[in-house]
Amino acid sequence: MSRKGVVFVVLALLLIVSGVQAYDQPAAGKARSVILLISDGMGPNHQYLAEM
Amino acid sequence: MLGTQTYIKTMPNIAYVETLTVNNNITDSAPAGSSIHAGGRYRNGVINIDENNMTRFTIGHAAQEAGKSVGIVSTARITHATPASVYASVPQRDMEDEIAVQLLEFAPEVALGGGIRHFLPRDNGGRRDDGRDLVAEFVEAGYTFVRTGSEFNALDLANTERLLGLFTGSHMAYEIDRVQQELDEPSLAEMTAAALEMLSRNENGFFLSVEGARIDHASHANDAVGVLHDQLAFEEAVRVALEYQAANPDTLVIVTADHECGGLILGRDNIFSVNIGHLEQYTCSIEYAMSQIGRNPDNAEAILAECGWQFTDADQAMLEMFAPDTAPGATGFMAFDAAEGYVSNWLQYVMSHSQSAGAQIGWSSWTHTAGPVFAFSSGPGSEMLVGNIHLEDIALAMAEAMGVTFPEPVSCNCELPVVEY
Repeated sequence: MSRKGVVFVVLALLLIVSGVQAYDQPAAGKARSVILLISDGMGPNHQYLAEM
Repeated sequence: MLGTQTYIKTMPNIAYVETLTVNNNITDSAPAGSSIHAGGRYRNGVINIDENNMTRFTIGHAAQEAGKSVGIVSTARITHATPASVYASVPQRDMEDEIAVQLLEFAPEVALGGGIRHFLPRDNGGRRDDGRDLVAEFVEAGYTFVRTGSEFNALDLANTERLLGLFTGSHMAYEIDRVQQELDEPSLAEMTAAALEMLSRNENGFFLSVEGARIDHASHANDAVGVLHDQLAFEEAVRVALEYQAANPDTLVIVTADHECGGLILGRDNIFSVNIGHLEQYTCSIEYAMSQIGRNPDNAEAILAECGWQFTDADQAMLEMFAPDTAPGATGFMAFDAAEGYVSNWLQYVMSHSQSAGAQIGWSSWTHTAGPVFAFSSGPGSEMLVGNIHLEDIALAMAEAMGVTFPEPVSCNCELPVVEY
């Protein structure tokens, strides 16, 4: 393989690896704020009831 | 019709959430809230103290250490297990006088809910035996205090640094009663909006925990109407949160439950449909109707009719079968203890049966069940809350999303109770 070919393959691999890493990266520190809402006792049917 | 779009259902990420405690397959709100807010698993009745007798600190503490503001909103007593699990650690959840002191020490920017009885001494309308007036101590610490919905509505939030609102002696009213009886209490959505207005002034961000508490209480009473109206009120709070997120996309919004209660099932007997329209005729929660009957038992039938109960022949037969010497008057029904625990008497049982049978709704329990719950989420970090998770994963995801760290646990110097349930 030519030198250009090797460089191309290496760059392609780097792109793939960085893409996978970016996909797997959790959103650490990206949320400035969190709103947590707890419906105490709510199972799926409680929720369905409100949809009717 | 089933399938109506709700605000919760617009949230893109969904997780199936197990609620097991450290040693029980049915949780109460204390270990469940602790898992949600601090991670880890706990035993029933215990708030934020693990099996090694270590006090675990919460996402609220982690947020404070990162310079963020914290708000706590609930329709329960603000010292009740779920809101307490944001800021307190106690070996027994009923230590609510102590929990109130821990709220003062935690010093959130906003705390709104019920339960003033744990903040005032007995000689001033409260239940505290130590004589402390915590409301006065909060005011001394710089809090604006409000006691009613009217005072709440008159607040100048732009110039309110810290806010304590305690609107009732115990839990706040069921939503249907708050509206129908025109009670002077704010709604869950109104409290959520006020908290957001105050907390959003911190450029470092905030953590806000909002609990629709009375869905659980209505489920304990097998009160389908109470559940429905409080669930709809909770939906309004979700709407407020999502509208805030739309304007502030760096906000993670999570909607979940700490456990299922009542074993509620839509459908019963041998019928292939539910009849939710039946619930439209009711204008009171079971608790409110029972309280009115308790005050005026001779007028029970009129109160029941005014609140929407129309007993069928089968309902009436059920009443008389178990309380034959009291028919046709209702006075004796109040004295007939037909069931233990969350059902105070046979009349309440028949009221629930009549209402739920009419709507073709079933219940399997008067308390919590082992059924799983869901977590819906949107915003940065919500991609972590998918698949099969446990309540404790919510705490870990919140910390990861905000980039904050839980303070190291410390010994509680306490004994954990032996819990019988």
